[in-house]
Amino acid sequence: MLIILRVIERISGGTGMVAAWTIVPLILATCYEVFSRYVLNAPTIWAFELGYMTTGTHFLIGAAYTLREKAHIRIDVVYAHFNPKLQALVNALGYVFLMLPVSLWLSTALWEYAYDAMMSGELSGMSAWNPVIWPFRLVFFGGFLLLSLQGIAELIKAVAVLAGKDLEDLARNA
Amino acid sequence: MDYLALLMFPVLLTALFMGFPVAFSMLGTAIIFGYMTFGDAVVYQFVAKVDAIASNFVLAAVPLFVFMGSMLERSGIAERLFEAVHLWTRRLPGGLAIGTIIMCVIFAASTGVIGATETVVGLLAIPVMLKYAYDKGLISGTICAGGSLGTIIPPSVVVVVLGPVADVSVGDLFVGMIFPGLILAGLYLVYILGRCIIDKKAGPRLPPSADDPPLIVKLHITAVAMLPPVAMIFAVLGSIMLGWAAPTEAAGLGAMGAILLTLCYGKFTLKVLQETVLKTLKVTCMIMVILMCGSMFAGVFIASGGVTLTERLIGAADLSPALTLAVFLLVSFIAGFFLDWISVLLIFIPVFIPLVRGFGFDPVWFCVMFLIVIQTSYLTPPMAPAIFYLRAISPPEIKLHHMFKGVAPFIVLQVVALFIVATFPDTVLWLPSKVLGFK
Repeated sequence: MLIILRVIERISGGTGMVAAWTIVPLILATCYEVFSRYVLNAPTIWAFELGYMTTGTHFLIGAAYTLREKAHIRIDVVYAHFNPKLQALVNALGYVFLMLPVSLWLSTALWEYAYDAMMSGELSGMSAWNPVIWPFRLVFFGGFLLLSLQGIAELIKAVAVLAGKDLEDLARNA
Repeated sequence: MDYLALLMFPVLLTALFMGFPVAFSMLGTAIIFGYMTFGDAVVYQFVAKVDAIASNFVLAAVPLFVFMGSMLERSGIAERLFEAVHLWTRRLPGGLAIGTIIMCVIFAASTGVIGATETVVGLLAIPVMLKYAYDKGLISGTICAGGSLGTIIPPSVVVVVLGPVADVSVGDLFVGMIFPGLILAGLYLVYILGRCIIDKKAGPRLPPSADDPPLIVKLHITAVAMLPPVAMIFAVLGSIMLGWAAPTEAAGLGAMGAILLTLCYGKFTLKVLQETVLKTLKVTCMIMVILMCGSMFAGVFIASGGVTLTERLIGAADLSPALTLAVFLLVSFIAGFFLDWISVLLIFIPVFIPLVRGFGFDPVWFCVMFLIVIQTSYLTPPMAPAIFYLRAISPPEIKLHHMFKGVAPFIVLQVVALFIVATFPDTVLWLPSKVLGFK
């Protein structure tokens, strides 16, 4: 169990780092587009599509890392007063009944969505650039798969607390 | 009539108040009710929502504005501004608090992030105000209210999210909220000045200091400190108002500007950049994932007849359109006590906006009033992000009761601003009609 937890958290950390740095090309692309349009008088055909694709990649791939870092907000008015076991119970129930079924189901549906686009060679149809769309759809799938994995990691942690293990201790051993 | 759609709210609220993350509470509730209504087909509806949110170019402004704010926080721009503003305001009654609000306005106009201002300004201003024995309630209120002005003063990440959800142009909203934002800040200033004139102990005047520089030096310091933020404000707001750039592109320019400023001040290192991109990622993901899950929730609610149902209930209550609008804003205000801004926005806007349009009200006007209500949600306990930020940075002698007492007058001022905007819709609509020429 500990190994699974450690592997998942590593994966989320690595992919999160990659996702975080995608902001840099996004900044460069939007600035270049404005420059190109007004100074060179030649708007690019790719900046618009690259812009939304980078943003989509940024937050979908980064969602798992954000979960690991506990940055998905909670309304903790009541939660903050629960003892750690009760908090773990809320989380365990939440991941089992609310989050994981949906994220896993969506992952398979998004895989089909990407696979169909790959087979048919579907184009984005959003601009003159019009690239093939399956790589971006593969990112949707990847994002939800990573999020599901991190969800499983969170569930493992919650169950560990319920079983009376000390999380700090677990983290130290991992 | 099928009331199933309305049951979504108690289920969602239960999950929220148990403390499960907001995004996943929405996701789970949406799938339960979506599955009951549509069966397996619901997953395809969700796939379409993922695609729609991930392929929305306007939303690219979210990470860009967040980056811009996080970068500016590290640039050292705040320290210089603080010094310059206080050169002018420190001899007024309550001068330090007045300077703090002015500084918040300038900072809010050059970043789009909620609360980033508060931490930066608070760390600078609280020690100074404490040193001069300012009333602790006044200190708390000033920092909390000033720090959360980032929502209503453009550019604003909240507006980038609100625009697509309400199907209103982000550019129109940015321009429309300029006057209401200034009215609100103006009310804060008048209140602080008035209170400190009446109650000399709340914000004592500073004695004239020996090192008070001559006017020309003051002007020089001010010009040097003001130039970078003014350039940022122009790059972002100016380029939108002049029609040079879409909001997303303006955000890109702002992000680049923030990097250049940090470079100029010699604060730019790879470590700073690394920390900024990671912080940007966390804030952006939090917002975007909730937005995505919220759109799934709203999609199920609408497709299973929720809006029609609400319409009928309101029809049955036989309220006038104006009164209905007031009820909407009141509901959002009350929700703001318990929920954070993005939950309030995503739960209520999809329900309210079709009805607001149906009554023939201007959606831009409604959205700006909604933004003022969102302002209050930062200050109203128990879920008051502005107070959370303050607690994280304030010294122990400022107690929680100072904070609650201190923010109360500012909540009243926000309600006053709301009444002004409600009574005079032109405060919102005049500027966009002149600048962007819509209508």
